[in-house]
Parts: sequence; C-alpha cells; structure tokens
Amino acid sequence: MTNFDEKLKELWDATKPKLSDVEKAALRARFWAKMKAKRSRLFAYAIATAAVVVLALVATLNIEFHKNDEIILPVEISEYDLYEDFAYVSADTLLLELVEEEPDEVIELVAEQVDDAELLSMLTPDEREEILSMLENSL
Amino acid sequence: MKEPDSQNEEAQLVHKAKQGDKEAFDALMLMTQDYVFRLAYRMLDNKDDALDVMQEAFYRAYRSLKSFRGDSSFRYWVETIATRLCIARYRKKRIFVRIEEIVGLGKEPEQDNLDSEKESRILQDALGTLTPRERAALVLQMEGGKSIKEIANTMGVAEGTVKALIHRAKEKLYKKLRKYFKR
Repeated sequence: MTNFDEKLKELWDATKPKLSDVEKAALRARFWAKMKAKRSRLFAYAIATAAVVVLALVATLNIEFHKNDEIILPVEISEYDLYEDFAYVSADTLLLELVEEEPDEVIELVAEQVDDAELLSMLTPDEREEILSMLENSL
Repeated sequence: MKEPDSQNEEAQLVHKAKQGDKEAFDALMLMTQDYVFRLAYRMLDNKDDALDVMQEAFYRAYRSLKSFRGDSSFRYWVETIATRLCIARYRKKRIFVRIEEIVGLGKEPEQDNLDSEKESRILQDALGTLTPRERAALVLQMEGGKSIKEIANTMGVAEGTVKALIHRAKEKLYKKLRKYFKR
C-alpha cells in the first residue's frame, strides 16, 4: 500500500481543482448579494411584524377608550355640576339662552301651565295693585 | 501548519469581522476559499455543488461569527462546517445517482480532452465509489493534510472510526486505480 499511497498522492496533487480569479470574485460577490437579500427580507419581516404589533396595540387601546367613554361620561356631567353651573345665572339669561332670544313662546308656554289663582296668592298686596293697574292701562 | 504571522493576521481579521467589518470577512473568505473549494469539489465531484456548499458554509460562518471563540483557526472552523454540509449533500446525491443507474438514466462519462482532465476524471470516478464518510475522511487527509485526531474532530466521530474509514476508502481506491497505476 505504501507505493499505492505515493502514487495516489501524485495523482491527487496533479489533479487539484482550481477556481479562476474571476470565479473567486464572483463567488464573493454572490455571497454579499445573498447577505444583502437576506438582510432586506429580515428588515421587511421586522417592519411587517412591528406594524402588526402596532395595529394590535391600537385596536386594543381603541376598545379601552370606548369602554372608558361608557363609564366616565355620565359621571363627568353630573346633576350637581349642572346645578353649580347654573346657580349664579339669572333667570332671564337662562331663558334667553334656552329660547335663543325669542322668549314669547316660552312665556306663553309657562303661562298655560300656571294656575292664575295660585300665582296671585304668591304676590304681595302692592304687587297685586301694580299688576291690576298695568292691566287697566293696557286695556 | 500555518505561520505565526498568518495566524495573527487571521485573528485580527476575525476580530474586525466580529465587529461588523465586511472587508475583514471578505479577506477571510479570500484566504480560505481555494482550500474550501478543493475540499468541496473532491467530496461532491461537481463544481456547482461545491460552490453552493462553499457559499452556505461561509454564510453559516458569518451568521455565527460572534460565537466563534478562536480556539481553532478560521479555516478549520469553515472546513468543519463545509465538511458536514458536503457529507449531507453527498448522501442525497448518491441516492439520486443510484436511482438514475437503476432506471438507466445515468450520465455518459464526459469526454476529457486534456490528459490532466482525464486523470482528474479517473480519480473522481474512483472517489465516487466511496461512501460519504469514507470520502470525507480521505479528502480531509489528502487535501488538508490532517491528522487522524483532527479529522475525527472535524467529522464529529471517534479516531478509531476515522482510521477504519480511511483504510476502507484506500482499499476501494486501490481496486479501482491499480490498473491505471500499472500502465
């Protein structure tokens, strides 16, 4: 076998496969092109993943906002707050705000609902006299 | 054995490549690609397959460069990756070659014009009779000048197994090549 080993070694060395300089350069160029393509794919995948995560987060938070609206809004505008807001506003101003500067319709509506006898009983004798004189003058 | 200067140069390139220096990794490829190509070609007997394996070996090396501790040389590391890829690919390839032989679709031997090409074909045909592991062990010894222990480490098998693989490989080659050597 020793003789065979030597001959095999000779044949082996005489037939060494070689790459040309062009092939070597092409191999390395292909390697970097492949790396770039893989990086691009990874980058695109990362962006797509991030987008999905952001969308999922937004969707979740949006649902939470709606939940909060349902719970908080009725509490925020409480009757107490309304009372506080309107307590220091005059009746005339309120009336004007409500009827948009056309109070006649409201006055008529209120007058229809009020019992005249009850209203008169609430007046002082001087106020009654004043109203009666106003009515006489208008007639 | 490599010269100390060469080892230092390689270590510096590996250090730079680990920090993301592409030119350093390119230089490492340039230093090792001839050897890795010869290994892959001897094991696979096909230039395109050899180039594919080389590319994959370098890609795997680049991807896991940060885990490379530098206990061995970069060349040895890539050689190990390439050898294992070659064994896996050669196993698959042999299955297809056998099927082609059985159904009569085997390729006609190429007509080589030059003497060196004829010699190369004779050797490659003889290597084609070996099993993937026999071929890998023999190629590592003949091409890389590796010791039994180094081959065992590269292939991930016991030293005794490597001895047996090389012995069987040479016996098979002897049967195939003795007529040629007698001429």
